[in-house]
Amino acid sequence: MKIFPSIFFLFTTLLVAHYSDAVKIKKLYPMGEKIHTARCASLNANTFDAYDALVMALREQHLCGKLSAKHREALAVYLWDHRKGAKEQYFEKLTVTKEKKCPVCGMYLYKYPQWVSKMQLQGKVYYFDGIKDMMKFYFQHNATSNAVLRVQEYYTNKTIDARKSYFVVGSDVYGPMGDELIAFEDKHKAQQFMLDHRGKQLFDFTQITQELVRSLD
Amino acid sequence: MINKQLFFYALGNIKRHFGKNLFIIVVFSLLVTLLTAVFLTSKSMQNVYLQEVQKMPDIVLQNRQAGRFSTIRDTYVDKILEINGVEDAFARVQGSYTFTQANKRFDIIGIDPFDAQHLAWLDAVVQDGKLTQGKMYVSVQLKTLLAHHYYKKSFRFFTPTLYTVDMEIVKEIEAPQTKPFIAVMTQEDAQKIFGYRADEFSDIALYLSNQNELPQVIAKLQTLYPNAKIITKEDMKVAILQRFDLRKGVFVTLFLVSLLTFFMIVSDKASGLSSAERKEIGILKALGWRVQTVLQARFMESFIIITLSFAIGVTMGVLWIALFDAAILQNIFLQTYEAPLHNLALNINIKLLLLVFLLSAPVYIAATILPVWKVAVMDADEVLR
Repeated sequence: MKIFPSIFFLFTTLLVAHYSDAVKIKKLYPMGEKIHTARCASLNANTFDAYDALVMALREQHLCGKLSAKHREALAVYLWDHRKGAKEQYFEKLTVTKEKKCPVCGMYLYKYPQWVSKMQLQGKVYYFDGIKDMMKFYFQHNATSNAVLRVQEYYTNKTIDARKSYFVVGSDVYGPMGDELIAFEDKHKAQQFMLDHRGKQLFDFTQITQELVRSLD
Repeated sequence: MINKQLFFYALGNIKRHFGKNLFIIVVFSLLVTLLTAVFLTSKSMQNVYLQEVQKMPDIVLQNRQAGRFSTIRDTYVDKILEINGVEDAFARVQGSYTFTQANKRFDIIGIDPFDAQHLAWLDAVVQDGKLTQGKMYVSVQLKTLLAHHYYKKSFRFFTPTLYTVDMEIVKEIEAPQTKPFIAVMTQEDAQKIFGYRADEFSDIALYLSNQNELPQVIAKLQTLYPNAKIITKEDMKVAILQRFDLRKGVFVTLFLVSLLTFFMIVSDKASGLSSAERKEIGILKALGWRVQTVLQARFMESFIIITLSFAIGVTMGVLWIALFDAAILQNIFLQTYEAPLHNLALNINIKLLLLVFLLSAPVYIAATILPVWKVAVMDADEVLR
């Protein structure tokens, strides 16, 4: 008798479409969102108990009009993964004016937009031309946990929280100030980067020391 | 410091031989017009195409079969999306269709209306979400062309296997500058028209979120599609630059320059240093003019002629492009199936104008000064005799 729950579990697991996070984020979510907005903005996935019930309803009842299998799947995955309404934490893009300079090295920042990093300290906002300079400033000013630190993810240029990021050093990717700490949102991406770019060490934010930052100069 | 009296003497001299000088000005202006227009057209067109390339995908994957372009399957698109640094990847269906009745080709773009459209104009076109199978949007120019052949509400396409596909024309759209004759439809319809199977596509396009990752992405693509040709944006740019490369066209233009300048010089020579002119130089010398002064006067004369002709020529060349969209000249640079560009943005390149000036003016000035110098160095009595 114990085998039935296992079979049921296996069956339902197979029913839910399996896509990697990359495919979901880069393809299915934007496509699903577009269909949802254009065809059936009022449809709420919270009313469905299971993923397959949602897919079935989309297919049988044409809740969003007639859709191809690909579009139906994208919509279903999007709705199912966003059903709780939990919003992803989103930080605005780091942009600088032409006059902005790095307070550590004095270089103009607009020339290296993908390296711009930001620190908010005691009500003031500072922009840097790399994570290395930001960390120098951080240690020089004995910045505490109150300092808000924002960096850009290497692969996507997305703004992320430095305190929750992973950093690779010793790779063949150089910033405007030479050797840099390269930031990643998740550890897997950082490890992949280490393989592709001959990175030597991987740290999380708490492991970054003043000595490490100095050693990069 | 310019000697005013010498300047007026030169002007007077031009007036005296008005007919001959007018002929030179007309011929030289035409030569400069042609050169300016050719150079500026090529530069302006190059700019338009380069701007288009800027909007193109960072990488395009194409399949080759027996050395020719062939279709590609989308089997590994999901795998490509998993490569770090890739922002988006999608299989495209696009190509051209020959409208035999009009003997013209037009472009077909098959899109997934719910996919991200990376081209602003295409995004604007599908905003309404009404593009469905069996319907197509056509550009204003294509609509006029089809209507001219009585295809007002729909058009019948012939597939390579001679099946027919009827497409309803539902909307008129603004086409991009480089593709004035264009039809936008769903991918499925475009596949039917091109005779592709459902998993066959023209190519796979990739957009990168970090340009520094280009070499890594290419290396990974080579493992997924070992037979495919990988075309980067840089390759596309190089192709455009090569197409409008002046070094190729310059031979033709140089030939024209030398031919026409030679024509001018010969005509000038034939009537130039007549015995009357030789006598004139002799008289000037007898009056006490130095060789240097005689040459200065002649230099001024030819310089005025050449500058005036150059100014007229450049103005006419610029107007040719600005007012008439470089009619006729555009065809030199277009491929047979491409339509001329409308509202061609003029790109005035000072370096090119200087090149035109240096290619022509010194030759003319030298050709007029040299015979004068030869006579001027002789003794006055010898020349007058």
